[in-house]
Amino acid sequence: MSFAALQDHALSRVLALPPRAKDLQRDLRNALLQARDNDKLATSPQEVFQLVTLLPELPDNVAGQLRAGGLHANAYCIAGGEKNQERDRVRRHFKRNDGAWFDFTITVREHGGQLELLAYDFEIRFPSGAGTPFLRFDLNLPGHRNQDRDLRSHLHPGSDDVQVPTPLMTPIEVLALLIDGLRLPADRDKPRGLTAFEIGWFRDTHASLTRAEP
Amino acid sequence: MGRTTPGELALRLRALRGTAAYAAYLAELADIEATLADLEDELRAIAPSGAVTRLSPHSGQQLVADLGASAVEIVVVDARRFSPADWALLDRRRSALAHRGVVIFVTTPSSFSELMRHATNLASWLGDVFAVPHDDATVEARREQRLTALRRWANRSDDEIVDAARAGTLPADPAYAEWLVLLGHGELLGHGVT
Amino acid sequence: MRAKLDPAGDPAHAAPFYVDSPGAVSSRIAAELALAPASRHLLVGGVGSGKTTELLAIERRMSEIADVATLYIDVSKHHDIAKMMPGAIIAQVGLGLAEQLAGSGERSLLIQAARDVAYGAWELPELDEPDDSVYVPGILIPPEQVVENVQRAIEPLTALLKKVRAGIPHIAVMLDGLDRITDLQAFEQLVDHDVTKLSSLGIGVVLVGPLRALYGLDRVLVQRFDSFQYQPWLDVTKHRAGRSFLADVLAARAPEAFAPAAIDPLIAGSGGVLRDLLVIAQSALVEAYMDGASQVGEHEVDDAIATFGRKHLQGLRPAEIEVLQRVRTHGSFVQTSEDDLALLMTRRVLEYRSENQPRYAVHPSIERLLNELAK
Repeated sequence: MSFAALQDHALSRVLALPPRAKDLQRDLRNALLQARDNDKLATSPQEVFQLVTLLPELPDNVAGQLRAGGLHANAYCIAGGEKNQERDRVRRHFKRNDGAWFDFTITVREHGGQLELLAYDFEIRFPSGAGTPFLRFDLNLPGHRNQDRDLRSHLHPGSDDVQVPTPLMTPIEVLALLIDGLRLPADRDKPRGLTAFEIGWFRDTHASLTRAEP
Repeated sequence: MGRTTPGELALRLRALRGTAAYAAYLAELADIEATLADLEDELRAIAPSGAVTRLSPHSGQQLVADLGASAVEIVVVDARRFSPADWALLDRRRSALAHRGVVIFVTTPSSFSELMRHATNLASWLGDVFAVPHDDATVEARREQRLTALRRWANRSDDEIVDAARAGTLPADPAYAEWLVLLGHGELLGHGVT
Repeated sequence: MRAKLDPAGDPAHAAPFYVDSPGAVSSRIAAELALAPASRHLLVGGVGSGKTTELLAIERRMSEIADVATLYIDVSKHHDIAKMMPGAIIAQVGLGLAEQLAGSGERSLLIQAARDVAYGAWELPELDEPDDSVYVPGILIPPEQVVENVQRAIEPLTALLKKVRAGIPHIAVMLDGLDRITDLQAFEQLVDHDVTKLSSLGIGVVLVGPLRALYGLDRVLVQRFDSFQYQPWLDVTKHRAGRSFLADVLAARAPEAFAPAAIDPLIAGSGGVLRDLLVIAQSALVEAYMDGASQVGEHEVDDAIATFGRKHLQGLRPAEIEVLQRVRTHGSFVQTSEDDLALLMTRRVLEYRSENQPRYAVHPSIERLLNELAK
């Protein structure tokens, strides 16, 4: 079955983005500071400033020359935290007040007074017992191979191999999900009890991991 | 002089709301206009609507008049043209400068030295005094940290990534998008969503 | 919390947090005014030493005496003190009394007369003169003749005094703002004309004057007053009373904001200068916010002192740095030039007094930076 129609639907939103990468960086940073002020984030304001970085395609002195010559030099990465593919707590990241922690990367291009959203990944990791070890929201690069399988906008629900289609979101919306959403409901003070199936699944998974260790 | 970005200074100044606070932010003359624009943008992004204004007085005397007429809480003063005589007058008229809110003087390091010499009373009021950061060493260090992490994760070299992108065989994962940008190959990214 | 520390705020708003400083000058001056209501007092002190706060404290103390009315006037608020001519202070006192009367509902021509003298007015010509109005400039715009202007200022004041004294026999004025005057001759003129005249009208005067009045030949000015009060820096390293006072100020204004371990470094870093204590304390609070700390600790105080020190060293010439190094290493300071005096005025060098003996030190916030420069 083709998921092309589903993907078209997921990507059909017109996003409200600020005009410049610097503006998006500032908006993300201010959302994090707001979360800090509301006690939803444990990361200090100083660290928020240090962790949200704008990385231009090239150093400013080189980029300036290229732009003056009409050549492209207008892609940016906005990084939130250190690059952390291994999910190592030692790498600098944002901490929620409930122990969850996250980081993100966004790739954009400035073009014609507008911002193009090219790709993003936002990954949040949860304390043990929270139901899943991590969630990652990905927006892949456009127009590549395996479009039928590789949904451009998707979620990894605790597995790098499993993908679930998600609607296209702005970086601010995904960040809001990570900060405010993805939490226990207000009327519950602990996670739901596990079913026998889940308990069995975790035990079997643990056993297979233990056997696989050298 | 300690250095801080406009964004961080804006946050510090916002933390002083509700007080009568005076600060200074220093930049070289060629950078003053951009610094003023950045600082204003940052302040407007985190302060309530209508709480920020910029004054560009041509003299100390005019600043006394303009500040007296302004009830806006956060005032950014373009003080790049202030001479020793302007600072001296502001020092004498310091009581007339009293403003319930935050006033930031944006000026050059040499003009600030004149403030310190000729406006000692005004200087005693100044809390935060910072200069604009002027090097990209931090950004470059972060670029390199991320490239190193990407190479380790994918077990591939920068050249292999660029070749794959050109051949149309690069995976679509966001990490590869970042990799290309950090290498200065944004032109290989295709078109995104607006 | 940050508002209560407010170093640049209106001292009148800080009244609820007032703490008596060791040997508070306000109590001495208030006591002397109570005994001699027309006496003249000169108050000097360095920038940020709390002079305005003491003037307002004198007002509060005097308010407890039934037959005395006080008036606080910052002469620099609506007038450039570099352009002050004799008569200007008298005109401002007249204006102050007029505004007080107007505030209580009085609608007298005397009030307008005081305003006209201060700000200028259009006068109608005599009937047999050409039919053109003549503008008479106010005192606060520099005129030519000293005596004439003093006399013009005295006239409405005398009449206003008669009106006020119908209810309250004694008046004392607290005159702030002249500490910033740089022309000592102009200051002398104001003292000789305005202060003397106010005193002759039976008005008590407490005048804040320039610190340079303390030094060299300028000391002769001091003798024109019945008392001279010096608001010193507090030697917090040598005297416990100074340290306790500043700790009490912090406790009154921001009782729970500072961790106990942060108090002493903060007080030491201020050099005993009250305003610098408040500036550094406020800055430390901002540092704590940026660090996400619930209280100011030693780390935040260190950062705030470092920021203050970097600012405090700006604008200094190599020769001045040399002088500071000598003060830092030997404690020796001999004021031989205007530049040396400027180092005192700007609080790079702090003078402490103990039994009238001076002790000199560099402001603690610049000590470490000076040490690094010397290496």
